[in-house]
Amino acid sequence: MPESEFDKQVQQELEGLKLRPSTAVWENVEKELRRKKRRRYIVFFWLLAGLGLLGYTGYLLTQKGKPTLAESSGKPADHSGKTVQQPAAPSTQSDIIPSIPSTIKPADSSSPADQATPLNETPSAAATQPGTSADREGLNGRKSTALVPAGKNKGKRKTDKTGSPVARSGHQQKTSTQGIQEPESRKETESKPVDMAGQNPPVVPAQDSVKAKTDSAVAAVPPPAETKAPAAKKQSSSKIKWSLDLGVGGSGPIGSPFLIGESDNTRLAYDQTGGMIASPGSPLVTPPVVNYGPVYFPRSDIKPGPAFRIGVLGEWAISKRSSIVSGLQYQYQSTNIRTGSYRNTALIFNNYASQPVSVTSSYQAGLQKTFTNRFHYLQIPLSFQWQVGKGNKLPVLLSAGMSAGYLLATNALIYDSLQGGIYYHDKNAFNRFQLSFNTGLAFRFGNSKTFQWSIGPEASMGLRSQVKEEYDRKQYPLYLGIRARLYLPKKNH
Amino acid sequence: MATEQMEQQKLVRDCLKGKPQAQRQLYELYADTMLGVCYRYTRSMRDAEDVLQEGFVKVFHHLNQYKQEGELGAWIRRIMVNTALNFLKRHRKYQEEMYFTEEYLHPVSQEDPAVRLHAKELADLVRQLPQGYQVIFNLHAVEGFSHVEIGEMLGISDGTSRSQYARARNLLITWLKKYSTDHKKSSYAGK
Repeated sequence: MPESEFDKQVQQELEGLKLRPSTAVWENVEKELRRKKRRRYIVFFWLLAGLGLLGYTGYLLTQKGKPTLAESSGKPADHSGKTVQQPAAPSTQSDIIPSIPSTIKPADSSSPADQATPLNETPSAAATQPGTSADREGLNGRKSTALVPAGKNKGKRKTDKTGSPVARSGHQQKTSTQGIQEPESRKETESKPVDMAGQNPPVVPAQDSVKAKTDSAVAAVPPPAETKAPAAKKQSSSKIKWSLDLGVGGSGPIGSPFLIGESDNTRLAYDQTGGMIASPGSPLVTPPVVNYGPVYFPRSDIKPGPAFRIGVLGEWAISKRSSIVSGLQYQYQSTNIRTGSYRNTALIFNNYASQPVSVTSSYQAGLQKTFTNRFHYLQIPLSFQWQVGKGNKLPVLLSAGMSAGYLLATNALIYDSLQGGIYYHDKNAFNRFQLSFNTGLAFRFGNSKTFQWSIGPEASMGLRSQVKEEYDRKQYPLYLGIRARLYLPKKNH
Repeated sequence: MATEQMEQQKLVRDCLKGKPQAQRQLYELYADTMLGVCYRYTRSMRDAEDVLQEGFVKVFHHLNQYKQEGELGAWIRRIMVNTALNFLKRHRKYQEEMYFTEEYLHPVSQEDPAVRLHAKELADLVRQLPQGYQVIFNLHAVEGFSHVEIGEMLGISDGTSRSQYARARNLLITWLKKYSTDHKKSSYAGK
């Protein structure tokens, strides 16, 4: 048989071969077509949701913070001395210093140095009117406040156990009366430079109240040292695809997750003054300021700060294009705030929620310098990863999931309206456990090679406030960054 | 002819619009022929149907890429061949799966039983060739690909394709001769 003839015959015979497929084939084809259509909608939805979240996170991190109380009132901060109108020019420095309420006494009132504060620390002319001093004292609204040396503060803490707002209100009236009835204390105060706006007691130096340094308020003390958390490491096994996860970006808190803007409910009462700042001649009796005292030093805007993440992740494939990702990560987050001078003095007081607070140092609220709040988290993420499309050249990976985190350490400051506005650090003020929602998009490279890596944007949003509700207003951590994942090469068996 | 082409174009347009009836019509039009193609590349009817199913999903998914210049059947056939090759690549243990069950077969018609039987038996013989031989023989002898093209498709040299084809061809001729002899013997015995 000639070769060409054989080839021709074979081709003719085989080309005409027809076989009828079973009915199940079409049913499966139809089912697959319907599923693909549905999958296309799901991918579209995920892409939109991911892009929306990324955009929203970016918006929140880049937007300018809400105006401070001073800004919202259209005036510069009151401690700059420009916004406060004085009925008459004070003859002495003491004229611009308000009185000390009787209920708030220094630990050692006999020590004049205890109350010494440089003039540049005093809120200029704020609350100087004698007639309104009592009101302002009452405005403080705290059940009790005591200032004692750092070493002795526990035994001497004065705390009124009535915690309800009504009880507090009653206490304020009592305080106000006492404030009016004690002109001597005011005179005593007037003769010496007094800390702050005078509605709260001066601060007693931590070491020696008698030898207190007059410049303690402006003494530059380095911020607390950071605590470093070790990066997580894990051993790889051949069944799981291990990778080294690196992320760099920015972090910042928001007041209300998943909502545009900040709800007024998330703001504390003393933030809702609507720009009402204590000034001479203006009786600050409008609630809710009356409960918390006038704010001479409003809280600073919280600006986003750098953040990074490092960890080891394992990918468990559950199908050709989907996998579950988990592992161990260390995350560093930071935010920036503006503060005033550092005070190396002990404070014991009840915060606005009647929570006793004891701190050894604090920062005067202000705009003098930048303070970086640092958060160190250890996280266990669990996310679902899905590859868009079947192509192996440049697969696009979508991921979404949750992450359980533990706050290892932080130096972050909490704001309080004490003494007209201070920042302090209290480790008990932070929620240790955090649950975050994570999502991201990544492009994987080198898919056909041994060495693989992926890169893409990611965002995570904390579902629990970093700060406990009873300490400060809610702050949900947000992170936006670029993630790179280096896959460890597989072992050849 | 022109009417057929217009009908085919309309069918494609309707399929692109996602009309289920048109999709079903297209499937019915080509399913039998394409199963014949898939059958030659696989060793079981079940696998052939799997390839057919996967191939048709691809056809509907990529139908927008079909430029209505060439014949639609040829375009679909190319997709089926590629799907079959991918299927064989994915199933590396396929070579050990030598089962061959006649009960899965569904011959289309008995219009010309002699030719049909011949084609089917020839196809069965081709399917009994070693896997590499089978694929190369199908690609060259039936689909008409050159050895250079086959080399590119399978990632082998064109020389390897040539030699494999020559061996497959010789083996098939031997089997055909043997089959022919056995058939004649049985025919005479029957007489």
